[in-house]
Amino acid sequence: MKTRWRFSRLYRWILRAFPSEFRGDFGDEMSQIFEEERAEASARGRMAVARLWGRTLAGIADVASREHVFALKRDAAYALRMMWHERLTTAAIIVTLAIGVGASTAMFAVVNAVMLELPLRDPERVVAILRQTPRGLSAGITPAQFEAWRRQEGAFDSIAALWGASPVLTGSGETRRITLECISPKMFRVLGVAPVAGRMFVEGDDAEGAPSLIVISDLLWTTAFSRDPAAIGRSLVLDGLSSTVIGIMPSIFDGARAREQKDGWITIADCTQRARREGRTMPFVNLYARLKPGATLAAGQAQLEAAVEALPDSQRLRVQLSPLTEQLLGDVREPLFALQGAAAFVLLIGCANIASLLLGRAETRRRELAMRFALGCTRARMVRQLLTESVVLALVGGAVGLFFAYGSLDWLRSMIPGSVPRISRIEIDRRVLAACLSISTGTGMLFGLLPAWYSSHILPGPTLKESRLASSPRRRRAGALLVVAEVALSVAVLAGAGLMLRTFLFLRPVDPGFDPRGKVTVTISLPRSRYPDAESWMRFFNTLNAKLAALPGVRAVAVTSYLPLSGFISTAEIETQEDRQASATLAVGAPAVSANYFSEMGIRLLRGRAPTDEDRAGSPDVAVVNEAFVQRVWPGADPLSRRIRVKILDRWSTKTIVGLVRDTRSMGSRLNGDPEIFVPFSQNPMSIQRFVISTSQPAERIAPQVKNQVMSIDPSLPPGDVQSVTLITTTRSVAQWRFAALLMGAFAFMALALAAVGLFAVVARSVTDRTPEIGIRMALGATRGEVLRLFVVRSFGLTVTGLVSGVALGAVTTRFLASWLVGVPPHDRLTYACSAAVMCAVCLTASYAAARRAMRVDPLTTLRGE
Amino acid sequence: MTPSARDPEAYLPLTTPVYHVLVALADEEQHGYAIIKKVSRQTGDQVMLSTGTLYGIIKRLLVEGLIVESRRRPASNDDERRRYYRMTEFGRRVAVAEARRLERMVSVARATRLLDKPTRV
Repeated sequence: MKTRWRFSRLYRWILRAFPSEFRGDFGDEMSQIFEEERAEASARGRMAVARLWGRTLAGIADVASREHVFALKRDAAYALRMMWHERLTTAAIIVTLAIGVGASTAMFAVVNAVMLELPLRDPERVVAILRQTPRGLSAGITPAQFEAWRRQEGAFDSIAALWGASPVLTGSGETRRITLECISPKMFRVLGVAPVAGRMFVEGDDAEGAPSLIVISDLLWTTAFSRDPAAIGRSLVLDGLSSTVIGIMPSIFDGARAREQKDGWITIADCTQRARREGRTMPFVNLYARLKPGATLAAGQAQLEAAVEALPDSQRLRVQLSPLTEQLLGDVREPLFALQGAAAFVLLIGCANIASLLLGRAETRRRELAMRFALGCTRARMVRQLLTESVVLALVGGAVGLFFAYGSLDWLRSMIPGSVPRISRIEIDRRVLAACLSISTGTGMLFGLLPAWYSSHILPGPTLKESRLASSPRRRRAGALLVVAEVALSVAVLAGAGLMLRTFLFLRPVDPGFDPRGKVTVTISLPRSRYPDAESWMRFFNTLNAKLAALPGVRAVAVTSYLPLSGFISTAEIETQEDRQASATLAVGAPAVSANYFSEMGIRLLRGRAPTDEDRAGSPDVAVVNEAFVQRVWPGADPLSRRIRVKILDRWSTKTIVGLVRDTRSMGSRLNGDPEIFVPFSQNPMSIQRFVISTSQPAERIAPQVKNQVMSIDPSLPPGDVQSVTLITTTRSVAQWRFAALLMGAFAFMALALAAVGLFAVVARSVTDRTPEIGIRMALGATRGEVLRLFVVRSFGLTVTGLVSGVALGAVTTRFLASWLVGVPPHDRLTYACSAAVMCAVCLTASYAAARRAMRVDPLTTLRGE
Repeated sequence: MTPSARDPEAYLPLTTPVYHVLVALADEEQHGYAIIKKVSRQTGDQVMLSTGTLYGIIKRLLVEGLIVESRRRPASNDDERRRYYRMTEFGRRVAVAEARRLERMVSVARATRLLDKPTRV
């Protein structure tokens, strides 16, 4: 008897798999039948009972799932009808959601590409071997040091070196420069990547005299071979030398540094030979290693330090191992999380708004819901119906949001600073789609739950007896809670935006010391194989200079080795004292410039003169220095007519200082310039020069003409990109902060707007609810001002509670931005105060606008209405 | 649309369990347990309906108007909780249409000698 009772309980419990109304309709009958079947089966033995259970469970699993799908379809259809019926509310919800989901999805696409999709096997075991210098960690390890270490074992599985190269590709379509990495054969093994076709490099490929081989990227496979599978074995002409294609890498692989898409990989030995032919040397390489499974970073570090001890004294250095992921993402990770967080906050604020809107709607549907309860609809059924409605809404909003996100990707790709790896990989892939779907569904649940819970607690009796619809205290409390949450989240986003804005303003070169406007620039790099000496460089550059100056719309052409703020520099060593015994050498920036460089760039000459055309090879060597140089080398003294020994391109010469110019700021107007010594181009020609072309035309318009002029002198010499000087100097130097400030600002604006709308709706609702009360108050002599105060004071209370929580929340969340903040601490009081003040002003305006309706209440009309 | 105005052909083909449930209700009203028993009897235990499957079918047949709950209770001393189901006129037309369809399929098999002619007793 007892067993029977237990089984029938178990069966009833299993019936919960069915939707509640199905259970309500047939549950009793089913239990009863099962009881009879079981009694009959147990008379026939255990096997019969087991078979019965098997059949029963299979049947329930099958039918219950179908019943759920059926119920879901019906609820979704009902939801769509309701949405159509309340088009205005629906549109408001969809727009709000599209903003929130769109922002979150777009940010997730960035995070996904940059941080989650590293195409390396066990990336946590890949480390960069860096050199500790007084200025921080750098990649500069010499090829000799690498040779000494490349066979290290112990903690290391393999060690490999890497260097960049950009040879000219000819004979495969347009003549152009391509981006290669020169690697030692084990690099692919270190990174844990394999080609999709062909083979990787093996030991021996880099032996002296080995043929030139190249592993190409998916990108070059597409551009040079149109994805022809027969590309392997064919050859490419790089800088006039042929290389045989041996492998093709997968499209997801961008090399170890992952900053930009690579065209291919050749061996370091090949690279060295090519460099030697060009008269160049490879001073440093980047070193990477893969740790053996189980080996720790500390073990690798200790082993390498021991290896350093074994080096000859002249090559000793301090090394440090750093995880590759840290190298790639160290600075980027937290700010990106902060931006993702800000997008999520916008979404949450949107959710709070929608929940508030749905609560209001549940209020107006109260009688309908109460009637349905009275007619026997179960609570579970009602909650499911309402949740289905919100999820359907969320999915529609999410689809629109996905569309927004897709549209914003191009903008994001162009805005994200170059220091962030794998930007070109940002796209809507399967993972982003899945994230968007789960964000939308989760959002629907989130904003649907509160109104659904509230609706399911409506008591049919009292509600149906009510004469009019007034908000219940519970609903008012829920509404107030939502407003507080919205204000708090908005303040946190605002504070983040404020901090990024202050950093941007701090770093923005208000006066960079030069005028970048109305200029475009292009770099020309002459191969030493065809341009072996200074005369040939001079001849080429002078010819090109004349040709460019003759182009229509070009005012002047100046030449320099590098531009300020561009991140590139060519250095020289100087001896700081005329007395060579007491002298110390110092590395300073040393651009070789044309006579008109200072006037064209708007760099102010403070004293003396600029170089002139008279300062040519053979005449006395002269130089111009900047303020930072004087500060560093001869503090407080007059630099003019002083003589100084300078080593440029391995050649020492003594130069007389003839002029002093203002500093150009290296980063932001408040940071000091770097010491620089400018030498006349004609006295110190270099094979790589940057042309600065003063023109009113935009870069893309003049680019083809510039290219034609270069190719007319030497058809096998493709120039680099023609870019605007503004873009590569002032704009790019603060790109990271401009990006963060703009994006944070956009999120803050959305947050503010949504919170304002939310507060407006809550106050407006409460005015409607309390209209009779206002009528009575006014009839009893309350003034309009007093009535207005009633509402504004209440919403002010909510705002202040939100502000306090928001400041506390911001204190936690803005810490993630810390690595990108310059000149402002993460807990900057002024920023917080301003954010709170802006939020407060917006909230008060919104609540005032909503509460003004209360002043217009006519006591007589209202009382008659009651 | 009333059931009689609908086309029974639109419901074909019926699944095997649905067809047998309708056939089980062809003679008289039955309660759930009796339907299960009758179906397994008329198919020689080939079709054994579980409670879940049966009520999934009953629900659909009720919604589509192929059966209705019957007020008449054949046995007066029966358990109060039991509900009896009766086939509607439309349900009968659907079941007949399905039986005809099956008959046609069998006759095709016979015409091509895939099946033997039935032996007459």
